[in-house]
Amino acid sequence: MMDAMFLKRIESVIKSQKFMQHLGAEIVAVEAGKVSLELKYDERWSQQKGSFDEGVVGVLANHAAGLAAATTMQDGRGCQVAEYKLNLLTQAKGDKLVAEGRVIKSGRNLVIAETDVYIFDQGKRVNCALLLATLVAVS
Amino acid sequence: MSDLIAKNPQFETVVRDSFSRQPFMELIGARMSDLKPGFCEITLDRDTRLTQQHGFFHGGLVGSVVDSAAGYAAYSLYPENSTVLTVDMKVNFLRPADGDTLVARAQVIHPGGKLYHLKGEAFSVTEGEETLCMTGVFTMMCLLGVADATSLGKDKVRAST
Repeated sequence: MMDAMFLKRIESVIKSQKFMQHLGAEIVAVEAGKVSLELKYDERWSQQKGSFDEGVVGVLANHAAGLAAATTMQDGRGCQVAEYKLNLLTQAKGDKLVAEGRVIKSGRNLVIAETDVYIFDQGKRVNCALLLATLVAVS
Repeated sequence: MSDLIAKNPQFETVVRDSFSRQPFMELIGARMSDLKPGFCEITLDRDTRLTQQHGFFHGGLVGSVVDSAAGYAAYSLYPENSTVLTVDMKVNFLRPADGDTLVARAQVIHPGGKLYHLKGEAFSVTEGEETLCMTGVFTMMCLLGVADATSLGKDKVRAST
């Protein structure tokens, strides 16, 4: 799902994310409190042959959580990641990664968001990582 | 995740027996209110001795109860002759746990070989209405051939006071 209103709200954030552009991550879904990012496999992002580096999994998961949080920010406010924890469930070996970020709670000062990361390997979808983050709302 | 299958057909007996041997859970009055392969729920009634200075359930206690639920959700999937230990946990407190009852639920997300990954949540319940107050991720270790007993069955039993 691609919600135009929420996409507009996070447009400036997307434009400023040069590292995501460098990686070639694409936004595949945006709605209230939810953002999904996709990253196709490239040897440059590999850790071992055929698998994504754990740091790349983390950066994608983090950005999905950050953008999901950004959809809940109003009146020009933004948010910054204060901390995150990443659990790597399986090796991320496959054709592409999809990070599904979701806001658990958006408060006045803090936003708690989580991301499930899936690895697609020859059409098979496996939950390969889990991120849980705290973001601080800034004006 | 309904496709999780218990390796031990006696998992319910094993898990509930283990829970009944946790003195800390007994001390705080926690009870196992639900158990399925890969899922566990623990319920705890409010007692002022379990609260902090604002009158909310103490945060460390909330984390402990969800940790216990996560451990047993993982243990429900373990084979016979094994035990469980927490490797790590990370929690985020969302709202004060100021209800009459605290309900902890944990679900296995990924059952690995040695390590099991789980999501855990705590709900504050007032007049039947549940409010999510804590969320977290947990990693549990599966110790094969190790007794689910004091000092992992290896050492002498510590005298209790």
